[in-house]
Amino acid sequence: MRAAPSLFVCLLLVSPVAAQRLRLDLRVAVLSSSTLVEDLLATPSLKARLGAGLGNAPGARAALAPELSLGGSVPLNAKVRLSALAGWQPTRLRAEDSSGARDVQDLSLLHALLELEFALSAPVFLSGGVGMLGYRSEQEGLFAEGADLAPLLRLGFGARWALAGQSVAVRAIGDMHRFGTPLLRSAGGSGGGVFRYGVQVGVVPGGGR
Amino acid sequence: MRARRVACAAAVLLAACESAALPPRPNADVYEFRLPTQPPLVLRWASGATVRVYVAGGTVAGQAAALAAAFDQGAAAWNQYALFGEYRLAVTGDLGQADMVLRWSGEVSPVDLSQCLPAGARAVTTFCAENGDPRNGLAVFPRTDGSPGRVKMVVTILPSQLTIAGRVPQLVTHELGHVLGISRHSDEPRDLMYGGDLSTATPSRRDQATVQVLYQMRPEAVP
Repeated sequence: MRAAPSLFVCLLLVSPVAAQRLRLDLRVAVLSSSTLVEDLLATPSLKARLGAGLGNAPGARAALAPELSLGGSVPLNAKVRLSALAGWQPTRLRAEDSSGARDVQDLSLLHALLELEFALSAPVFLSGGVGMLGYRSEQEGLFAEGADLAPLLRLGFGARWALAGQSVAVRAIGDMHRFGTPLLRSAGGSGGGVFRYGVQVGVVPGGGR
Repeated sequence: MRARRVACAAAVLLAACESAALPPRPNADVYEFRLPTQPPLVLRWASGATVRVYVAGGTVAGQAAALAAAFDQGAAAWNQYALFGEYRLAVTGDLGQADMVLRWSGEVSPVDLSQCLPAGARAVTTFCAENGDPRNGLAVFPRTDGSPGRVKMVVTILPSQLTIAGRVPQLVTHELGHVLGISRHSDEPRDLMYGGDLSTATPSRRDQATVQVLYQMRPEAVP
């Protein structure tokens, strides 16, 4: 989790000019997640034995929730901006099965991200970042034995404007990581990919001057 | 060569797209759990339910603490397999909010058992169907003090089992399996829901699979 910010600090140390241009970077997003885990539940022979009374396989995902990110941002040149961010998404583990959806337990997603933003024709930009992401929850259920820390890949597309001396950006973001927990493995299960997508609004105070 | 690289990249991406998954349970891992009626019925609490348990530990020194500890152990043992929040066993000190009473036989019961008598050897889970048909739900045991209540199941443990080390937690955890809706016994001695002498206080892989499948069955009778 500390790798991305550490690299960022190193870049600032070797580039005093960049360090002078360092600005605070605040972002708020709303992110939706794909299914974290599903229970395949029954083999075909068990399904045949239990008949139509067996419902659909249950699954669980992180509920739609805001994500807050805080970090630093520095323009490397006229076209490229580098950001290092730490993010937190407080949410709930939401299960869905044949009987409906219900919240199971509190869940926090924490991440560290190093991101490069490439300006296209103003004000449009593309961004791409890598980092690490972890899940934190009560020590019960799927998270009874914790959760794996996973590499994170995030892509974005948006626009940036100077508004009243601030640099304001709105972007569509999508990211991907791998989800797994020790409990899943001990139950004979496997980890798998998770996609998240959403809209993010960011402000770099003083970055619009 | 280029096509192969593209194919490999696509395979990696597709593999990454698959969600994490718990494996399907084989037929042999799930024993019969339905209520032995004609036809057999799936009796279980509604999905997402918290089953509140009033522990009536009685008046004999040490017995109350032993029963409370056995319940805590049993509830934790079963709750850990409700990965999708299907059910939760929780203690309550308010009899008026309790769905189930856990008690020692021989002690005064906080609910009237006269219309639905416990009948068992070392431990037993008792419930009676409303109007004789579980599909109507289960009958409420009236409180002996006349206050309103909602207790629909009573688990009774024989106090003499306290003389056998570790036996009471085994029995309580086993009975909590019945409370959750495992209405039959396993024929495998290593399972917690085995019908004979118990060898464990922990649900086995088959017990876990059975309760997890039970809670993905559509209930035909709800307490």
